[in-house]
Amino acid sequence: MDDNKRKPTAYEKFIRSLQRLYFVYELNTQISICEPWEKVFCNLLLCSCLCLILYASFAYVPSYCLLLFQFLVPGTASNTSSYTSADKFFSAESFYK
Amino acid sequence: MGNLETDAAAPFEQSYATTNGNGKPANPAMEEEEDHETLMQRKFSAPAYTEIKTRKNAAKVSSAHRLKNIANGGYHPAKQLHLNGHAKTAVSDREFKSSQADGVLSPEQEHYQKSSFEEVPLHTACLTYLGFYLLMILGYINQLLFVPKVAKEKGRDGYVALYDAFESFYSRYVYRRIRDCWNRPICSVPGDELTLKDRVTNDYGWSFKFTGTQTRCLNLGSYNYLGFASSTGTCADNSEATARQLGLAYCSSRSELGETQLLADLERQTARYFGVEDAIVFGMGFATNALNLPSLLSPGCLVVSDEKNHASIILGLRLSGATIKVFKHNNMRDLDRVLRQAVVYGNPKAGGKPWKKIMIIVEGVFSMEGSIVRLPEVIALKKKYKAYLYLDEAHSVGAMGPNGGGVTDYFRADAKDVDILMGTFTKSFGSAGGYIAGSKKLIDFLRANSHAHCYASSISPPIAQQIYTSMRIIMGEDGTDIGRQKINQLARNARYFRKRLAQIGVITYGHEDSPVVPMLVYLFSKIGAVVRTLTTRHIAVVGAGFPATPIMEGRIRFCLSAAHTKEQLDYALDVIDEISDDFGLKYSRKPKDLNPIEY
Repeated sequence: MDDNKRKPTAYEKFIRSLQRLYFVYELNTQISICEPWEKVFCNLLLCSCLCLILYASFAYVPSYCLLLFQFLVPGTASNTSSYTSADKFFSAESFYK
Repeated sequence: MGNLETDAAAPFEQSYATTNGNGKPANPAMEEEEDHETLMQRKFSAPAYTEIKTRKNAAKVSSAHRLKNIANGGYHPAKQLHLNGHAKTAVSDREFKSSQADGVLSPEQEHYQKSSFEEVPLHTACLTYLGFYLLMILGYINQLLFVPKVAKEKGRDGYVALYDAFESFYSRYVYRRIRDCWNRPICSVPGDELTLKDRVTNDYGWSFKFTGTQTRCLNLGSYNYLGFASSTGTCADNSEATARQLGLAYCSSRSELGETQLLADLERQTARYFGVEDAIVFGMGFATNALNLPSLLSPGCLVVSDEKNHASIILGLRLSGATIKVFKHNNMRDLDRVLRQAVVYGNPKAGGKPWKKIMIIVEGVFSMEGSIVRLPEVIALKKKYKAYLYLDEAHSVGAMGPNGGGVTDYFRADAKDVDILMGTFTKSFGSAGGYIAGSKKLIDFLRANSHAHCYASSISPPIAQQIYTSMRIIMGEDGTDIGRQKINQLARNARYFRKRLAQIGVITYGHEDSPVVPMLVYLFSKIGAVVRTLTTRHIAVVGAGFPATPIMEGRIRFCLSAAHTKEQLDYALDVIDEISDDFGLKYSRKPKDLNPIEY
């Protein structure tokens, strides 16, 4: 009992903060007062919308997504791949001109 | 009531000298204190995002920038930047926060400076709208798929539906979800603490079952302003004696067989309480408004009523058939405009002839907003345009003013300037019923023509005795100073609670002195979450949502009482602080006063 109260491990704190975040999300979207099947329905709806947006951005503008990914995770930036895509882009432009 | 600024300054200086406001002793170098102080203020007062400079916020943004220059001025404890959460603009470090006694600010400006009606933050407004759309969509899906557990209407083909479509939809699919926060049964006298009967719902609000347990809670929801709601004491003993002597009910209306010496004494006492010629009492506060306005007004009259008036006034006005014009809440310029239009253009339905009479209806303290009416200006306007003034003091009688006389006492106005003083005995006197006080001519007219006097039953003896005894206690006529102590306690509680709430950072509406404190939570789910969580922490409060307030402004309303001690208020405030951290209720963007607020 005492151990639980005095020493919340980092993992427990993390889980608790996640739970708190989920609770605040539920409160702000007013899902918290709905019945469980309504919660599942709304969460599924929101997740499917997010997935749709993500998929659409990956499918239709892959180059921008790659750039964004390389910007966010600096370790994966590789010069050669960025050059080739740029080359392809410029060659396509000159072809049309 | 005036301003307690002058006596607050001395102890403030003292406490500042002994501690640093942060628990450190007052010995370190002055510069260090000042740097720490200014750092803390800068940290808390600088907005976390760049404020968009619109016409409304231009003054706010420029004042926030001014705060960064406080380090340039000299340091002096008396001239320290005294920012309390209610100041709309930051006062520079050279001047005191002026008060009415200094004569720098006019009383009107000071009143508006002490009231706060902060704008809703944009993201919260968007979330509230979206949340309501979501609830509506879910409600429609529910309605489509499942049968609600309500009684069915049978055999009504060809007849108009019994319930309005939107009202029944709202009450079944939105209100029903957090219905357990309202109509909670109690099983003790609702004094400073009360006992709630616990109930559970197994089918999401359609039905309730009692668990058999009870919860003893701090009572922040009852209109018990002066603490007269108790089952022991002089009032209770006198009421019991009267019940034994005179019976429990008169079983008749006033005009038939209900006229007694006790009621005549009560009316004379009420008239003396306000310093007017005569008064008349009725059995029910709501009925006093709803049934007397029709006898005072008729279809050729104009009524100018405040936007946020109570349902009883609106009902009475509709019954009377008079023309109603609404002016913006507590806005004297709008009232002036409406009155001027009415006098200049007359009654359009009667071809431009002047109105039979023009009556201004306002309340003393508005119960949903916590704001106090600007009585001196309303009286000035009334005299200028020769209109009548009807003042509904349901919440303010007993609770405001140095002698408990309501807003006329609070503003030191002449009670004879207000034509019709109306109020209820339910709130501060711990009883039931309503009164109208004014000139003898008015009261004689009402005795002959009022529906409530003629048809409603008279106040029963123990209740009338409770009003009589509590009035004598407040006026000090029973020889003790209990009345004065209660009034002072309520005033201090109200100021302290409001200042602490502003320091916590939640948005509250209303004037600094009013004992009704609405705390804004905006979202419907948050009303439910806050009320439920506070109950588990042994605090009972009242939440207010859509039909009573605008749909986007859900609020929790705290009603302070003279029966609350500082310890109880501190406990409540600590719990509110924790909860507002957990639920994200700290919407206020005003600069916060960081010094501990003295009681």
